[in-house]
Amino acid sequence: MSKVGGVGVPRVEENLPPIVLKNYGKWDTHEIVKPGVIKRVSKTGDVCHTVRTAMPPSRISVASMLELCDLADKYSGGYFRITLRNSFEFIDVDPKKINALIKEVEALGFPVGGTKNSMHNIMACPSWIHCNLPATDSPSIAKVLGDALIKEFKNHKLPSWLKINIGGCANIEEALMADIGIIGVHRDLPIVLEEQIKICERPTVIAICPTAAIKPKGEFSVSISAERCIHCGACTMHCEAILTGDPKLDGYAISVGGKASNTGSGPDLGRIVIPYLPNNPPKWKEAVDAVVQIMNAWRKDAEPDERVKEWINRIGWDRFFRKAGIKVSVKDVDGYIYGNEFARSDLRFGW
Amino acid sequence: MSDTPYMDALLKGPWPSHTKELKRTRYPIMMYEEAMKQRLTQWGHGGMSSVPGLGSGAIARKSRRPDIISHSHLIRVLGNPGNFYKTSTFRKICEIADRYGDGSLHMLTTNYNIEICGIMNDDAMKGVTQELNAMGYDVGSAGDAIRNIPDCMGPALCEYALVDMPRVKHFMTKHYIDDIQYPRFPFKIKTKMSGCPNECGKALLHGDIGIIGVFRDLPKVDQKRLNQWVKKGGNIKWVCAHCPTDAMKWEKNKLKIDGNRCIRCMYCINRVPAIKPGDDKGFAITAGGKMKGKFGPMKGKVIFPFIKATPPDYKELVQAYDKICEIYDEHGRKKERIGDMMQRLGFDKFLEWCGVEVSTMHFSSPRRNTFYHWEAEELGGVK
Repeated sequence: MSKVGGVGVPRVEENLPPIVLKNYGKWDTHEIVKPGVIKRVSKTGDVCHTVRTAMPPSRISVASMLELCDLADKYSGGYFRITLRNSFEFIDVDPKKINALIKEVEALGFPVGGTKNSMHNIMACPSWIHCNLPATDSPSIAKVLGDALIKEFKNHKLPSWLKINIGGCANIEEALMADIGIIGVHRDLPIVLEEQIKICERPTVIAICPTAAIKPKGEFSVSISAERCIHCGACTMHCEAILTGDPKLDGYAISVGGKASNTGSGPDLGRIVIPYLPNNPPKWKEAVDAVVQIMNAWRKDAEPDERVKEWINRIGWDRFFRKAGIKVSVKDVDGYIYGNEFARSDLRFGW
Repeated sequence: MSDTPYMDALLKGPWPSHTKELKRTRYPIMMYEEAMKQRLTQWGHGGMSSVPGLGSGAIARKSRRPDIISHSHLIRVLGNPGNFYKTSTFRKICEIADRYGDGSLHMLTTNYNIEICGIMNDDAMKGVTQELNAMGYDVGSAGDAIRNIPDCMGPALCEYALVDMPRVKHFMTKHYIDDIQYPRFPFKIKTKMSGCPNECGKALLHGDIGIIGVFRDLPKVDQKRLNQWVKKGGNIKWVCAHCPTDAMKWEKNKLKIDGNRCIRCMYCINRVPAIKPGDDKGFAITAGGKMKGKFGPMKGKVIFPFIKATPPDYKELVQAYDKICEIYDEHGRKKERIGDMMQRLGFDKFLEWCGVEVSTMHFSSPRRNTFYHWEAEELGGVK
């Protein structure tokens, strides 16, 4: 393989705070001092406090980032970290100044929290801010959910941690990996723009359709079969002249029980429990109600330290639907590739 | 009355507001306002745009509303190892974003890039790239290329880390920078890395190729420290009861871990400071995890259950990674992810091509049909 070259990324050491560099690989324990504040203790005896804040879903302005940088200069020696759930983390804050930092950063509009048994930062894709595929608007759902669940973000009163991810279309972003996920659902048949379809690669468009719903039509165009279409959005993604999205039909589904960690019953993707809810900006009442309903059922019934997936594993899906108060419909039954595996093949019912 | 009632409704409340952020930039807010009003996105088709002299990483997007804005592009910047940032360098990135773009950033994307949004023309894209390159940053990670290779914070701040992921990220990015910047595959290859089986990086679930730190021997127990922890109020019995395979026994102030039962899930290590992972550490490599694509969301599958971590050249890791990329490059159809390809061709075939010695680590249960494929040699020449 010949190398063209490129700059790559900065060296690891370049951006590490001195205390992290000194204790690289020597960390021993950590404890949560209070929601959002983690105290990490090294084998060398050094102690490093980190303070974690929520971030706005999807986009952030340069002006706000600079304000956060100012605070990082003032309180954490000019270093910060973005966590894997997009929280902003001040590293190595003087324990005496933590309260002052929390006061200042919350005054800027960034609540501190999201550690351990709380709701963690909500992840969302850009959706209507900058994308052509979405069926729903994840940033605004994230915002209203954050507002509704801010108490859970700022204290440790949940049985275990609760992660909420939101994806605007069938590409799902990371929604299925979260305890509660929200996924945009298209219900309309994609429209083919006849005068533009010439510019698309017809073989690709036909080949990428998973259910062979797209057939050639005429010299350049294609037709899409309404009976076969599963609204996955693959054709829209790869062809400029096929559009999807309908203001009256689009909405979102709710999934539960995703988990990445290998503890307990191991990693698994979430399952869709509510197949469709309508878009209702800007308050998104249905989304908030559904998430709060599922969260409350989990909180009431789960044992300490039990993630949503482990809870469902213990009580079974029969009781989950009953306890969460969700109506089952035929849409909950998987009719796609894995349909047979998810059907019930035992008689161990939870009456 | 304000001309953006929908956005204004999302300004208030304790959670950080994205509409407030958008209003602090030069982002065309009417695009978003109209989308919420009409309940339909106002942006048109987009994708990787090829700018001469610039690797992938430039993403173009058209608009369906030329009366508001005709188009808006963005640049993806590869994130730092461990996602640690220094304010002095980050301020420069902010300054570049403000000068060339509309002043909004996406912190961070699913692949842990920083996106500099609202860039309007090719010259600006080139300008951004040149200035970033001068600072030691690079653009890339778009189109049918190897995407940015995100890592967890690893040993920088975490006590569980089994392998040095920030350094692996730095190595991998340097090694595969051509494939990150010049798309040549049937579809994207998302690589994710986690330092331990706790999987903060979601490598198994989300990575076309996942690289995860694992250990083979039993967890180490410091009995003295454990007893101190129990005296201070640590509930070891509760931890034993929640071990997923009942491998732990607490008897006469001594903890025994049953080697025949332990599955190295890290549960006890997460809960008890006196239990630490073993010494025989390395990588596990998975392939085929994805969210979108033909056969729907899929979990990744273990291809290489254990390979040694050998810095600085990580020879075995590179060999394994190259192998999977090669097979994908050769057999993948256009716009088909690795997981879909495995489903189409058969997982047994994929393992054979990877040249791994198949073991029980490769399946959760053996098959239940007898529809094998036999090669002529296996039949002793009889056909």
